[in-house]
Amino acid sequence: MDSRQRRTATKAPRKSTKAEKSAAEDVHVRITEFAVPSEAPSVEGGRYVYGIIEAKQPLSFGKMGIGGAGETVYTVNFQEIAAVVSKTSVYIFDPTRENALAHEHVIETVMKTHTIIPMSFGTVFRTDDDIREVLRSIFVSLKDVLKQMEGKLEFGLKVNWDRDRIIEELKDSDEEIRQFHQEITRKHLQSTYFARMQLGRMIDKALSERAAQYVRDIYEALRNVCVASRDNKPIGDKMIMNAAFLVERDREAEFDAAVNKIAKFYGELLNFKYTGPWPPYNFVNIRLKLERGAS
Amino acid sequence: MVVERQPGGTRLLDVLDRVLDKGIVIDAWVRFQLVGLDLITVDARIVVASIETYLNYAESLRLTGLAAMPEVVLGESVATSRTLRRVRVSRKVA
Repeated sequence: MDSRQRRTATKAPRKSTKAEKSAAEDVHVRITEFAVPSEAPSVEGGRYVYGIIEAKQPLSFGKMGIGGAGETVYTVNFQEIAAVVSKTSVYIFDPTRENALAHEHVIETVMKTHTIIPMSFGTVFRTDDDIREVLRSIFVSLKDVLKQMEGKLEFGLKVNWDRDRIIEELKDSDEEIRQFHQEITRKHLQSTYFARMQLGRMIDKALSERAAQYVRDIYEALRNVCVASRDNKPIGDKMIMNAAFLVERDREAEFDAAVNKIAKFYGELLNFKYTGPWPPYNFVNIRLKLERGAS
Repeated sequence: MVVERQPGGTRLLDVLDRVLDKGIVIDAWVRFQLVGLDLITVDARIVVASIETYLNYAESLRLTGLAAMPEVVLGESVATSRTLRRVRVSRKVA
């Protein structure tokens, strides 16, 4: 018996007699045993969910759904919130370049006119009714988060430096390092290996301090033009800052100007990678789980 | 130097950095299950496991390990295994 048949079997007994009900529960138990169905998706297919917005009326955002067929992106509404979805015959999406960009493209299109709480990649439900059921179940949390994020955009700021160049500069500008370096070069000490180790440690420390100072100054420069910020782990050894900023939609230009000002201040020393607007990925973390019903 | 702002969805790395595990997240395990579940008819539902919003100004003061090891997010893996366990347990109980 495949899960499709079991599913149909559950539908009827639910509202009927006790004996049948226990049979239905038995069916439920077996359903949870099967994580991956072997069946092909039904003709109607599933629903890929991109995110949640506030909307009282059903909306359509055009033909740009994930999966390559350009399915219409529309909303499934529950009271005054709605899920942004498109039909799909695929249930498990791989985060390929095409898929990830399609997911993001839809969210960004919706974001032009709505505050959207983004869904992470690859969430597919079976039917519109299933989605309404989920919206109903987590309605209060969604409303609250939507309100908190209303009219706000996320911007990304990654700052890289040229480590070697900074080291060269330190050898000139840091008095302690400069002297030590000169000494090693001049004396050809026998202990040169250990001396170089020590120099390395001094440079490392100076580098960390320098990076920390830059990052503090950059955060300080942007503090007054944004709502919140998050500090992510830098990627690779050239990056000293990997931050996300939450900015009021109507202060976007101000934030832009502040980023440009601080970038100009550092000139060639630091390289700024500035991206956005994004939906508030870094400022919302809602984890959903599956729970057995109370009955 | 003028900083060019790149629109969000232009660089794959930046996109993946966000879409894979941020925003509203359903565990991969549950996502697999959803394929076989019909939430209307089955005695199970999706609920909020945890919810956090970050509306404060977090400054970086932890720049000691620029070349540190990849971070192991302990809480996350614990949560995942707990979810898995719970699914298994509920099966046994029933």
